Amino acid sequence: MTRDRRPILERLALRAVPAEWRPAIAHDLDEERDTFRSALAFPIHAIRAGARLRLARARDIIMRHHTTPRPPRSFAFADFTRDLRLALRSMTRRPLFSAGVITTLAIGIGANTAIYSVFNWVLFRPFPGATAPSELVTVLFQRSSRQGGRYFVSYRDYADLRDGVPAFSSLAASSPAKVDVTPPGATDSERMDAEMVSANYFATFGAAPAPGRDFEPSEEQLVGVGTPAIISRHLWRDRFDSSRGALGQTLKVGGHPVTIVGVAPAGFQGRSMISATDLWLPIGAQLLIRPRTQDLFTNRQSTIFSDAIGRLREGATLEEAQAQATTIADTVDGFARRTPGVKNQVGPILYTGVGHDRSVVNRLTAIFTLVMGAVGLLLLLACANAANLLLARSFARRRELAVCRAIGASRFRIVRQQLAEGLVLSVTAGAAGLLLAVALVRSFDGMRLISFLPAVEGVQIDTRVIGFTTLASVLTGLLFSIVPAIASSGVDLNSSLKDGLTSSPGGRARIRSGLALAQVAISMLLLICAGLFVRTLVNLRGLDIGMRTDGVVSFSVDPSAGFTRDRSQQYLRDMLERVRTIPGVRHAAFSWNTPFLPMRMDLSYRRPGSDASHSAAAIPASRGYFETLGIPLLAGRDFSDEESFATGRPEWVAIVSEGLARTVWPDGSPVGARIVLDYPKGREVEIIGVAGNVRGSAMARAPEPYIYVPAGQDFQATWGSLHVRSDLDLVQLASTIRSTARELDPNVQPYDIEPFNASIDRALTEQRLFARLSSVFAIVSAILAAIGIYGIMACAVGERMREFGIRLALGARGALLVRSVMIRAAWLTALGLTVGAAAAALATRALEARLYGVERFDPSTIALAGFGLLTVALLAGLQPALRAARADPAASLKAE
Amino acid sequence: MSPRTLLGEVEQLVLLAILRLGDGAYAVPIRSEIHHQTGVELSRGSIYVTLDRLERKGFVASWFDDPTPEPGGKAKRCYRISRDGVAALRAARRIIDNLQAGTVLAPKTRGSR
Repeated sequence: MTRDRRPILERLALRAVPAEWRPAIAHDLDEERDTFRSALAFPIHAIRAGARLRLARARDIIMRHHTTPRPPRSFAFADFTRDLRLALRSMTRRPLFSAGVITTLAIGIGANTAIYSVFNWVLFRPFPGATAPSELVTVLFQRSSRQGGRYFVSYRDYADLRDGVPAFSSLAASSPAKVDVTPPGATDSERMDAEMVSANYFATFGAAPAPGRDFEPSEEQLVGVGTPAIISRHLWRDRFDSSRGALGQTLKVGGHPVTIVGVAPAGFQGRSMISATDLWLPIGAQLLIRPRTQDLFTNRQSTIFSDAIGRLREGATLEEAQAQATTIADTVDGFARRTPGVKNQVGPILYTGVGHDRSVVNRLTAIFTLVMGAVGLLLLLACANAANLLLARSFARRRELAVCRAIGASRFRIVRQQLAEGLVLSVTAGAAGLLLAVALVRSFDGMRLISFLPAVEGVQIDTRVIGFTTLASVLTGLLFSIVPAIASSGVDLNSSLKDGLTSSPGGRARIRSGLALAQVAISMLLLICAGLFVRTLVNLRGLDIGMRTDGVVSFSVDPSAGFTRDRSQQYLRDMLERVRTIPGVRHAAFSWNTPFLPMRMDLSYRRPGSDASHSAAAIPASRGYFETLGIPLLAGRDFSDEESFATGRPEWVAIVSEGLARTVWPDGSPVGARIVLDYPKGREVEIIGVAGNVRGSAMARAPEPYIYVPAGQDFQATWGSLHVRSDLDLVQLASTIRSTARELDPNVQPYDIEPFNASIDRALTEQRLFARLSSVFAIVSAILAAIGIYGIMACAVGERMREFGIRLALGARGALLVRSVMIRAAWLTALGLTVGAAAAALATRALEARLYGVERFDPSTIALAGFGLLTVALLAGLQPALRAARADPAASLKAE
Repeated sequence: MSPRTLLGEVEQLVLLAILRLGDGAYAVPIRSEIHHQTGVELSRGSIYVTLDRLERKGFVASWFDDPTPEPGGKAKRCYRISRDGVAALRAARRIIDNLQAGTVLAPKTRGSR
């Protein structure tokens, strides 16, 4: 071929001419060159002719004048649909292969979708039943550093904010409470969730009660006769058959009559997204059920609200509202019980969104990230598996692809076609995965997936979930098909067309080994995580919590709604006495809280005459607490019955835990010693006993110091739990407890009757969730990895069958071949294990805080995971290896 | 007769020129032949466009006199009229004749039928 020596201008001009016309026009113009008067004539004529040709063709295509259709030259819709058609055809032509890929991917995508939809439901679903929930703002009362807990403010503080922040179109407040409600006509009360709310509460949410009416402003501070109530939709349905006749009827709340004036609108379930409110009462009702809060509306010391719900005025921003609220807090005298001149005091802090506690959201997000990470890895593994299958098939198809290349398909075209095949497979898998997710999510219904959340219910597969699945499918499709596509597009035409069987494409083998290695590595990572979680759970389960609680049943009572403090104490004392006399009951005791209940109170104390102050968790309890819960009393004595509840005895007593005793009195028994408490300030109490150390819901932490005080005396518990050690079974005991309570006072019902161990179990829900999920993921991943190893070994052996045949013919023993194949599988696996272990060393850093009693780099866990995976992988490689030994020498020689 | 096989004016000229020149006609002589015989001067572009279209319609066939033309190089692109091309020319002739039959090429007059 000679190089074109014409001037660059002419060469460029000729580029304007369609390629197939270029030589002809170049020839013709050269021939006429003598007639041209200018040097520019050649390029001008060339460009003109080229332009006319292109224009005419375009016009013909548009006018459909062309007779033979030409393929469009650029990527166009027609190409796309053809790619899809081809891909669909290729998918149905190899049903077994397609089913394999689709199943693998569907499991991965389905698991991801199911987990995502649960968290989507918990975290991201719009606030139910409210109008324009995006305008709603939560106001918390916190120290300005935004650290530390939440604080309660008074009605007056709320009113100041409500009237002084113009950026809010309204600001509502609510104080949740559990109350005993007696429906009309019923004799027994029931424990229900109530909210004492400001009159503008429903208006703020944009959830107007219907049927019936909203609270009126005048009712907000109403106390006593004629207290209105708004009931929830489900209460209306369950108790009143959704009849309008419910309006005007009377409920008893803590023994006080209230009148139903309205029903909450459908879907609205109160201020919390994770629990449903049964009825709403105006704030004034607080005085009915908590008789001790007398000057509720005037005294800034009467704190009742820990938050408020604001609706931003149109055009107002969160920042404006925050600035205005801060100004109110800074200028109003005594706002939130502030002391002038002290820094970092409690003030209103605004957050967008309502319905979730910030700390709950943070905890959920952390769990979400971990779990999604794990299922993400699973999907990645499925991708590697699918890629391997695809690669294996593209090897089988290389002759077809080579023919495509030979007849003019560009490399890009082949890659595109294979990507289309991958996408068709992954989108089909996505659809299957979505179905799988729907089934999985259905099976979650009613399950308590996370300890501090109620059971999930009615999880919806909404557009966000479908979007997620679509995205996951498309990304998956691209991910698993891009490598095989590129690898197979570069086929060596000659060898592929001549005879594929002799050529062994080394690059592809490397890619496939890499994919198998990645699978082993991911599987190893998941196995190590699962191992760590399982060991953590086992360690925590086996912990000595310092109590013997088998056979102990606990339940709660709250007579405080409706009773004065003295009457409440009387009730608790009477109830405890009656429970103790139930036949079969061996011990019973009262305590306000336990180490496994969320209520917590800390007391500061010091030795008399010393300034060093310590802090301990306090448990107000009655006589028998230690006996009932199986906590050993190491020294001294228990409380007496007289000390247990308020009787006005002048001797103040306390029992301390062993740990506390050791720190404060390192040498000698504290029994008989005295300590000074900060609540009530300066109270000196005598230590009468030392109890064994116990652990609490944060089981992984070392036992905390505890200080047990009598339930009466200073603390004066008005509600709490009773613990019963008996020989009765739960059902029998529960019904006896209920009837006992009914005899004592039908307006107070025991609730949460359950074995004490259930509260211990709840403390481990999270660990159990992690252990279970990660184990399932790890097992699935090991199976996928085994399939991957099997696939690559089977292919590698298949490609080398001829070689094996020749080696056998030359006298090699079958065992030798088996060994060489197995060694390869072992190497591959070992490499994957190493990579996985290294990845685990990095990744488990994120888990460290969730582990107990096991190092994140735990040699025995790693060894066990590695050994297990190696065994599985070698088993997977065995069949292909045995096949190698069965190679037919005669066939190989014939082919050569 | 479908519009696809209906020949345009220039197409007829080009086809007839190829017929006159015989096998091996190419763009330059086709253009000068039309010019010499009819006085009509077509642009080079028109010739190429017409040849391109005639070939796609299957009325002419082309070949390069140099068997391996390379892009950017040069080679004469020769044409031969195909059987369909001849048929199309005949058809075009007939259409004109049919339409013209019984008419007088004279200034239009109303109601002369």
